[in-house]
Amino acid sequence: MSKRYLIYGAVSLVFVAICVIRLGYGGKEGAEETGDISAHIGGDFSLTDQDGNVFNLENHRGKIVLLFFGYLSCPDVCPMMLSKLTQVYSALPLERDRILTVFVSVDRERDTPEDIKVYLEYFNINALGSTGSKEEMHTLVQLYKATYKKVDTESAMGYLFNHTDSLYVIDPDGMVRYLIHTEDKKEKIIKAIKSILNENSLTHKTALETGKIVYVTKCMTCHGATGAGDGPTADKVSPKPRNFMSGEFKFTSGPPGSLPTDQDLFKVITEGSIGTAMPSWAALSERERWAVIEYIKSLAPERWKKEKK
Amino acid sequence: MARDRNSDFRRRPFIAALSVAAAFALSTGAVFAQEEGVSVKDAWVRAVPPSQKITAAYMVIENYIGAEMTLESASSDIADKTEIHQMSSRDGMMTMQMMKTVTIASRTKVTLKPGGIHLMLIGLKEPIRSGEIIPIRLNFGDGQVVVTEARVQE
Repeated sequence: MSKRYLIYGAVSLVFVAICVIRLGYGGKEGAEETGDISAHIGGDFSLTDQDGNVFNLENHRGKIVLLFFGYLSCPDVCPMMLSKLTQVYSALPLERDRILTVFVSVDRERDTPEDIKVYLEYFNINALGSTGSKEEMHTLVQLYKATYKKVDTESAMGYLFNHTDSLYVIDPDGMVRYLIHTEDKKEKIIKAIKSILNENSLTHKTALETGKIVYVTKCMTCHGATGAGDGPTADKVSPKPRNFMSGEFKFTSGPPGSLPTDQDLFKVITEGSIGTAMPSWAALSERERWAVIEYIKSLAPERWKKEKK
Repeated sequence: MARDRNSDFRRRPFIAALSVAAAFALSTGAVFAQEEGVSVKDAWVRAVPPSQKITAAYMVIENYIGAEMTLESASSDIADKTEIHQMSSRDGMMTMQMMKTVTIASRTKVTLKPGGIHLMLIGLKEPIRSGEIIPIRLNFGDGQVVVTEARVQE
C-alpha cells in the first residue's frame, strides 16, 4: 500500500516537474518570439548628421529606425551589419522609405562627416550618419544602455574600439522593440521589421483617424470634403487644387502618370508646391503628415490598390 | 686558426651548393604545404567603400599533419600591413584584439570568419573592387609559406 503511494507520489512529482519545465520553457520562447525588450531602454535623442542637419528621433515617428554604433575603421563587424542592412532594404523595396538607419560613429577623432557620407552611400541604404557631440553621445549612450571604449593596441591602426554590437530596432512610436546582434541573420531583421509594420497596419485605422482630422482642419478648404478638389476656396486658386478621388498626381518619382510614393507625397506636403497655392506643411509633425497621406490614399482606394506602391 | 679559415674557404663551394638546395626547398615550400601540411581554401576579402583604407580577409586553414601549426604572419601587396585580429562578443559588447599567432591543432581546421578571427589589411594602397583576386601570403611557424588567392566580395 505504502509502496503504491510512493509510486503515485513519484509519478505526480514527475508530472508536476514536466509541467513546470514546459511552462518555463514556453514562457521563454514567448519572450523570444515577440522580441519585446524592457521599456527602460531607449528614448528620444538628437544628433547632427553627415550633412550638418539636426536629427531628432521624435520627428521620425511613423518610421522604423535602426540605430547602430560603429566606426569606419572597424573592418569586420560594422561593414558586416551594414551589408546585412543592404540586403534587408532590397528585400523590402516597398517599405524602404519607412526604414531609416542611424549609424552613430564612436570615433570622433578619425571619422569626418564627409567620410561617413561616402561610407554610408556605398551601402545603398536610407541612412543617416553622425559622430555626435560629446553631450549628444553621452545622452544617447545613457538612454540606450550602450557602451563604447577606446582601446590602445599594438596594431598599426593605433587604437580600436570596443562597442555595443546591438542594432536597435525602434518602432514608429519611438520604442525600442528588438535588439539584433552581430551573429543574427538578415532574416531576423526582416522579420522584426515586418512584424512592426504589420502591427502598424492594425493601427492603420488610427492613422486614418488622425489623418482625417488633419485633412479636415488643413486640407479640406481647398481639396474639398470628399477630396474632389472642390473645397470652398478651390475657385479662388489657380491651378485648381488636386483632386484626390481621381488618384492622379503631378509629382511622382516614377514614370509620368504613375502613382507617387509615400515619400513623394510627403515631400510635397512638407515643402509645398511652387507656383501653386499649396503651402508647406512642415509645421505639422511628421506623424501627422504620414497620417494624412494614409487618409489621402483612402480617397481613391481602388486606384491605390491597383497600382500598389 | 689560419688552417681553420683555410678549410672554411675550401668548403665554400659545398656551402654554396647547400644554399641553392635550401633556396629550392623553400621555393617549393608552398607546394609541399598544399599537399602535406596546411591547406588554405575559400579565401575572400570584404569589399569596402572606395574611401576605406582598411578591410578584412577570411579563409579556412586546414592542418593535415600530426603536429600543430601556427600562422605567424601574413602579408599582401595591396596593403601596408596585415595583422591577425579576433572579434569577440561579451555581454553585448564587441571587442577586437590583435593576435600574435593562430594555432591550428593537428588534423583540424580553423575558420577565419566574420565576427571571429580575421586578417586585417591595413593601409590599402588603392580601392579594391568586387570580383578582384588578391594574393595573400601566409607564413607558418615551421617556415612553410602558402600564397592563397582571395576574391573580393560583399
